[in-house]
Amino acid sequence: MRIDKHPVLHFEKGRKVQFYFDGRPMTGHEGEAVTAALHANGVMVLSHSLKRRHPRGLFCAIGKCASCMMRVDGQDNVRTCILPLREGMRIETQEGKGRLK
Amino acid sequence: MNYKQSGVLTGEELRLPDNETLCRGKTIIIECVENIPCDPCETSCPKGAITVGGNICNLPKIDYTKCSGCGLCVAVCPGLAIFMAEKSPKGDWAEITIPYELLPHPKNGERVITMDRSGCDVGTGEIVRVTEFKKVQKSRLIVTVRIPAEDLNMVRHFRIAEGNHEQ
Amino acid sequence: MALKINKCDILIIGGGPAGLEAAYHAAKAAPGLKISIVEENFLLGGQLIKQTHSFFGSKNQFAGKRGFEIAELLMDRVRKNPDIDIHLQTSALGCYEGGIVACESMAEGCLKEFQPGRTIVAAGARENMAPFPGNDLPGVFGAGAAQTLMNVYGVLPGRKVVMLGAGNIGLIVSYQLMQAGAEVLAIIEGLPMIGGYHVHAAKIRRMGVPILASHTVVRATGKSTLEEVEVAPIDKNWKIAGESTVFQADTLCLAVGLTPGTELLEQSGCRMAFVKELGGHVAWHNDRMETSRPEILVAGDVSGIEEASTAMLEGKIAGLAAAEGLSGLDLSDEISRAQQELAGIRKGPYGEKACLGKDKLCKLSVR
Repeated sequence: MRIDKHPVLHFEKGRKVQFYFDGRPMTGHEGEAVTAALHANGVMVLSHSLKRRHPRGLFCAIGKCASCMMRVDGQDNVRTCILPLREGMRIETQEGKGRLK
Repeated sequence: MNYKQSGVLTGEELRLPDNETLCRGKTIIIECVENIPCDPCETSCPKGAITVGGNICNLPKIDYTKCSGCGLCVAVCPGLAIFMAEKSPKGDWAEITIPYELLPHPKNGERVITMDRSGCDVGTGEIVRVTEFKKVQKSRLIVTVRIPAEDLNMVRHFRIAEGNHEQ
Repeated sequence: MALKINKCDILIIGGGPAGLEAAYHAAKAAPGLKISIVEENFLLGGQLIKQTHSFFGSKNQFAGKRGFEIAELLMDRVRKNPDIDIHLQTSALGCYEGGIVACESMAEGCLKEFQPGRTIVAAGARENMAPFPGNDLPGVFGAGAAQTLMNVYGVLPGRKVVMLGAGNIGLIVSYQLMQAGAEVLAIIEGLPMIGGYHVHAAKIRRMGVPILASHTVVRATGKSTLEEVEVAPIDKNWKIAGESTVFQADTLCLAVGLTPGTELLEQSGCRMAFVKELGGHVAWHNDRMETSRPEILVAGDVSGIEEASTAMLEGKIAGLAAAEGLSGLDLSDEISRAQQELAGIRKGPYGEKACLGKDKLCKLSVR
């Protein structure tokens, strides 16, 4: 849900760009956090806990927890809450611990 | 329940101005009861009517004889804790001025539902003035609502009735 | 991974209010010193950029200005100074012998090595978790995360919100959620008292939001995202003491305190101490913000949880102390003026906790 009117803030957004979440095309604003773009598209589940496979979502939004780690353009364990969105980005839900490249 | 439990001030913590002061003209009411480090009310007042003093954690003191009712402190107070009140000399109406930071913006002449310090409905009122001191505080409206005189010590907020407001 | 060597005199880790003020005042007091700021996020300004409430304090602390306006001001004066360079999307990985600090630049895909004369750690804090079943469901946010989403990116975290914690953060974020168009169903507080400023509580109470003191969240449930929050009254031993209420909510915000982000300080061998008034483990430091390692200083929440106004002043003190050490200038007057200002804004009842914590720290020996 984007906020269209706010009593105090005026949001300056980057140009609209397309990106992909698990292969699905979505639209976001260039330069906003990837998690913000996902959330605006209704994506709340970003990862799963390793043992019990509990769904996990955004928790801290400033790169301090590991809840939003995803695969971005083939790279695992990217903290998507402190990653600016770029055109054509491929965001994927990561299975397991991920691999170091 | 005291205000630290409820978040609501009662008559005991408040030193509300007396009837005579209220009937003389616009009178500020400062609902600031904790010693927080803050002094914009003092430094913004063009008449020197509010004093915090050397220790920034002191509670503000009002000199009602100096206050001109300009409303600058209502706009400036970071805690949105300053209001302005006025009673008609005959006692048939009163006005309360409230700092307001919500959407939609109220408009002159609009009927609103008035609310007390705990968010309960009190009655109704009419918006009679909407100003903004843009130089000192952007995006905070200073809204004056005309209400029945007996509601004056209760009303501290209002809401625009649904369907009442043209978007 | 490629390695880039960066030369600087003062390295500042963290570009929030403390780090920005440290950089600005160090550069101003000792022109010619090269100062670098490394910041993990792609935005500068730390948590100040999402604060929409007006700040308290006096003119010196930008009283009356909204947090994001103060952030713009601080960022602007740092960006304008040619002696300060800023490395965004850069995480400090470790602090090694000879004062070498290794960083990873996520933007450039390389390692950066700094060998500064002084390092100021202004790494901030992280939000605490609260223990209850379902606390990891999507829709359960740190209150600060909800604030980031709505105030930085203009994305509403949810429509119906329960807030856990009636300290300043819980109260402020609740008010801001209402401003952004969400509905706050209730603020839940475990203690019998509201912890935050009354003026913040009053703002949200008069809008009709209840504050339930002596209550806790029993559990959060939902299929893949949050759907219900169960809340119950508790006694003074934090045992359930009555019937539960269930709120239909898509968002639960946790505002249950912060913990200093001290990993780097611990790793670098600074003497650490547990001081509960400061939010947990912190690096020992004196009133000039110097730690037990002479080349490392601290400022802001990493040195003890407080708020942005005190973080800015601690940053200023740390920046001046670092500049003094490297330049040979006598900055003691300026430092003591900043120390007095800091003492002034800690004077009221809400500053007691920080004063107590900092005093406890001073009484410990350096080693």
